[in-house]
Amino acid sequence: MPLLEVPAEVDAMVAAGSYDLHSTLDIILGSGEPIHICTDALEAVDTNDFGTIDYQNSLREVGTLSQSITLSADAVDITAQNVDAELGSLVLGDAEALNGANAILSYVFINDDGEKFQVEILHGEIVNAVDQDPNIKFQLVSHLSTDGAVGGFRTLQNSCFNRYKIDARCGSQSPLEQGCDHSLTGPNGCDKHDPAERIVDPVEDDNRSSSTGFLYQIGKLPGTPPSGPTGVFDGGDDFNSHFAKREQLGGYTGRHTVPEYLT
Amino acid sequence: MARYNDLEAGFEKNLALAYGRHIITGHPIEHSIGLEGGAASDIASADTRRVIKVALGDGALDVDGEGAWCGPVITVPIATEGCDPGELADAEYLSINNLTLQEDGELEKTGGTDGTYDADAYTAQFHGSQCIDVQWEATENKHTQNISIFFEANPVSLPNRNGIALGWFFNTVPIFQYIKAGVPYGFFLGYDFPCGFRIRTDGAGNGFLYSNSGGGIPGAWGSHDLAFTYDASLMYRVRVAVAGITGIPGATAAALQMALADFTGGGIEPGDTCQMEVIYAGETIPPENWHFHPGTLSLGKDDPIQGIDSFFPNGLTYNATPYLTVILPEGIDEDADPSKLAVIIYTSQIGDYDEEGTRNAIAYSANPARVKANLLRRISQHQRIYWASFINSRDYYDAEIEAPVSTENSYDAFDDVPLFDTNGPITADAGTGAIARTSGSGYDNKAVTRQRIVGGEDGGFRITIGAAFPTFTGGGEMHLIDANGTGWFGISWGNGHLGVFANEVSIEDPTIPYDLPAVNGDVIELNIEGGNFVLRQNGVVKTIPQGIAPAPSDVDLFGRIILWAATAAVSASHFTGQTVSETTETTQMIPRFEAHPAFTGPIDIGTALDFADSLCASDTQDAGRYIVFLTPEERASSFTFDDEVNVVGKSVRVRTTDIRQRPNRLWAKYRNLDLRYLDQDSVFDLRDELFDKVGRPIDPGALNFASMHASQAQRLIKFEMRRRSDNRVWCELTGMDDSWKLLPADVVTVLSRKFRVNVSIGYDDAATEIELENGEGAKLPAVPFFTRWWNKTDYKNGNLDPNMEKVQVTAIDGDTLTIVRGQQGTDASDKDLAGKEYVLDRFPKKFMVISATRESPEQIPNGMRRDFVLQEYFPNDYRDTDHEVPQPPIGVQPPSEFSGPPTPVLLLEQSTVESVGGAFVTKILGTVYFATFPSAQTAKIYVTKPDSSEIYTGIEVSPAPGTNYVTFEYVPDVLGLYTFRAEAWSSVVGGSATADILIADLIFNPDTGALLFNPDTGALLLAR
Repeated sequence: MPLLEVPAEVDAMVAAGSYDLHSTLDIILGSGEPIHICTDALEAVDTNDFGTIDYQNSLREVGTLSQSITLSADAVDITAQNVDAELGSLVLGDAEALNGANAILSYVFINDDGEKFQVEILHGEIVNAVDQDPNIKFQLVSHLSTDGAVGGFRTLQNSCFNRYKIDARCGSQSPLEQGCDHSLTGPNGCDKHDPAERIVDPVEDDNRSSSTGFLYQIGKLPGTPPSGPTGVFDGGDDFNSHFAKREQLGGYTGRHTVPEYLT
Repeated sequence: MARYNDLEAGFEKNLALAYGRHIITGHPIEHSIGLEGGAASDIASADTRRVIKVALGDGALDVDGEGAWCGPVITVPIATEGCDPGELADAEYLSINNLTLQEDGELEKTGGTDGTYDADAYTAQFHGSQCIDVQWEATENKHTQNISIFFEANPVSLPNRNGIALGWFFNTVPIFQYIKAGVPYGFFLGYDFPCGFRIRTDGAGNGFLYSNSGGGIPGAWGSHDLAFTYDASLMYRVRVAVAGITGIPGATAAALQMALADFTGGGIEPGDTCQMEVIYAGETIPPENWHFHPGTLSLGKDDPIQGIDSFFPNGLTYNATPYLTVILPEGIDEDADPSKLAVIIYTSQIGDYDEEGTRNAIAYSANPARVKANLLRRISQHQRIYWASFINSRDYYDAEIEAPVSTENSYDAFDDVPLFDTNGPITADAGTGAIARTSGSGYDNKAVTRQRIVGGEDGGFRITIGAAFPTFTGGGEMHLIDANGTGWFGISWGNGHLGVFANEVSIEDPTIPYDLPAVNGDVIELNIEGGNFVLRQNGVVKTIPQGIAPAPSDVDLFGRIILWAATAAVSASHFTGQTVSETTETTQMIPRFEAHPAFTGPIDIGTALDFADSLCASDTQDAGRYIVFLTPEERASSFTFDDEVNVVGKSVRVRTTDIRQRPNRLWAKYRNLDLRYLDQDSVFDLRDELFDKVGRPIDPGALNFASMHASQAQRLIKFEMRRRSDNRVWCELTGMDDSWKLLPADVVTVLSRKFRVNVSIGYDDAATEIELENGEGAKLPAVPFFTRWWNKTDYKNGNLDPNMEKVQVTAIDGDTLTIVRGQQGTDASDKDLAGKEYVLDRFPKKFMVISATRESPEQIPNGMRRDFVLQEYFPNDYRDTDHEVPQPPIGVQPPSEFSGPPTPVLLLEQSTVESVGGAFVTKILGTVYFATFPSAQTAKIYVTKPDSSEIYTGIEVSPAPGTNYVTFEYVPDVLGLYTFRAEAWSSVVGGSATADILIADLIFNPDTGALLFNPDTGALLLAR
């Protein structure tokens, strides 16, 4: 059940063996600004996400994309020309905008009549961007293969971990410029900030109710926990502990382990 | 004691990201003294820790409002139609402040301050399960001077707002309907009405009408009608509040009319499975002694859902953190330990979606598809989900299947020589029931009857001891045991006597003369007579030293013999009880798959998805524009690789997994959802034939199945074993352009001459049944299929054999194939050349794509060559029927710490000895036999002397090392009847045993010199 969204015309082209093929890359910077590059200059390409657009001829080389059922290694090396130092500035400039930008790798099939059909191959994030004049090199890693935690990262800590005003858990109505020291009652803590808009009953004078710190967090008290119904997650063998143990035994490779001599 | 908020106090713990149902301890974050909570200074107190607070996990808003934990939820109906409770009547007020009720029902402000809401009136309270209709007619300016009509809970500070249902209607038109399970239902919900009103809820359970222009109800002319249903568990009232406008006298609330009726609207039952249970050291904490906060966004310190807990008036709201506050049981406040707290809880509430990907619900769910969607939402990639696959997989997982739970037996009466299951060097004769060792000595053997005494029934197990066992000679043991092997009643023989086990206590008199002497040939019976255990020796009932020993009424008992001495033997045995005539299974309906993963440390998306998939035998496919959810349902082959057509020349490589990498033992640990405490359980699958070949276990270690039903664990471990061990054939090949759409997790068909099976010889051109060599039938795909039949000895390639014949296989029975000859343009021919090897090859074999490369157009202009790694695939790797009645988990639930040891046995005797100088000293010798108990135990000895009351002797004893008994001495100071009590202790008091002894004057046996007396009269039998 392959689900690459493929127009019927592309199937026909591939079957006939008569087509022209190019790689395209759509980079979406954190600011939302898109950059569209291709291995050839293409005009008027219909895309799913950007409408009909033109591609600059500054995508030099797309390496071999490796994809695996484990979702842990879907990535491809990409080289792009640093036209007018535009991409280079994104790598090295103050914004350092290229690393972490979203990107879509696609193929454009062109038939004998010059009709263009785009097929999306990989959605991911750009990592390891390097300005290697005259080119920019980076990796495109599938969103499903990117590192960084999606959960289990919230620590039990004294200070509030909310981003001041940005995190919906904070929501203070004080000015952004005031900043925050993430304490409950410190010099610029929750009690020095206006309450979040949602805090209505009763109307409170400050934003302490938004704190996510654990002021009175206590350590484990003396005693030995009994076995049986108590214990931490899954008897102390939560998945991450399990994962760590497996790593000690030779690494966690997911469920679909390819025998070593085949890799 | 230092405050607990210093940085050394165990920080850097992670709150759990959890889905589904779990048993957790949580992280202690506060504790306090007494029930009153108290000031912050209490936190620093070490006096007592009866009230503790633990953080349970991550909370809401990580994923657009998803993530609040479910916990307990009340099922509440909500109106789905405008309610019409019937005829309106004038409102009656219970309390009127600064207002005057006029004859026409209006309330005029006659006190207080203009412009201030200090004048109000309350109606009687009504139950939240009722439908209320409130109507008033505002016709004059005086009715619009900042006058508000409130619906509010009574008391205003709701104790708990979980399970709110709310429906508001303007006349019969629904204005606002909402129902949430422990989630704030929004704030500043403004609705513009035709008359210019808006309705607002302040987020704390209080709703009120509000004008768009701000304040009161100015401009609220006309008749208004509101219907209202709310939390069925709470009481509400209507409040009329009048502020008036400064400088304009005479503010008057219009006459209010109300009607009440039992709610009859439609119903929704949200989250009614979200029960939770709180346990401390094995004791269930009653619901009134804990408060659960689900981790919603706090609406303020008085927010009854996520506000400051009433047990801790000066605490924090713990915004967006699921937490629990518990009052611990009495008597443990001195050494309370939060790590002994366990919470069985339904965790994250997560989204559900329709076919368009629109989220249409946030509720508790352990559906794997919804768990995966929540994970993808965390990286904002849920928009890429291929929603048809989400719907398909969600419904596939939710579909209920019938899972075996237990078996029920029917019985026939049995009174004969029993059948024994033996283990170790022991044999049992089916004709006589004689039992003998075959070698060695020790506890390395047992013979257990297949017949049983059904719980509550009478019956018996009888043996004849078949070998001598005089003093200094060992023997064996005979018990009635339950299905777990736990002994309930029994004897041991050896050294010329018997020991008795009853009431969980072993007692043996090892000193001559023995209390229970025995010899070779004795007939021993362990019976249940009238509900009590009875010991008979040669037909004579023997007194059980442990006292009356009741038999369990709900436990089936089996007979067991252990011969631990090399010479021990049983010459005959007999059993009276029941034998199983029929066994039937009981079943329960469960969802096909659930996923209950929990992550207590940072987890990346790929690993999290892989783990969620591992819990439901599924895959997640990154398919360019879409993310596709794949289930273990059969995947049709979507492409065919033919090594003569569309595979790069000679690139096909076929290998099998090294036998040393194929697990021959696979097991997993999980929390069993079928058990009340989600006990840790395990499940395994074996490949004995592989073990025999490799000679040692190949075991990758325990898999983690998180929490699941036993049925799911069984189905999953068999699936994993097939995928990891049985599907051993791997294929590598390089595909051509036409394979460019294939993705990992797709299933493909490979036609290659490398896949072949050997056929026996001796067939003419008409044969339609052929035999494969041993075991090769299993290598073939499902029928029907086409394949080539040719002479491999003389030709390297089937295409070179002029007699190569294509046949269609239409049936496979083991290694016997039924075929149709001469297919696809070939002719049937004889396959009977002696000494030649004939093979079938190029039959279609299915593989799953494990990994694939994709070279870019720049690397190979206008070519899309791809390297694939494929693993053998069988559509029935997963089977709904791969389950059976689960074995009970190993081990037993530990007793509560508040349950002391069982009752011991206390035996007493008098000892009078002649001391130096000719004086006689009388002592009472006591022996305490302790019952089985997992923790160390002692016994405190109390005595009631003649004509006195009980006192503590100051004697506290514990079992002698290696034994279950201990002796003590007590010197009586008067003659008469003494009553002793041995009270067993562990951390708390357990059972007490009592025994009497009459202390008489000195009495001696003239033959032995031992003292004697008449215990009934106390009279001396013979004075010295």
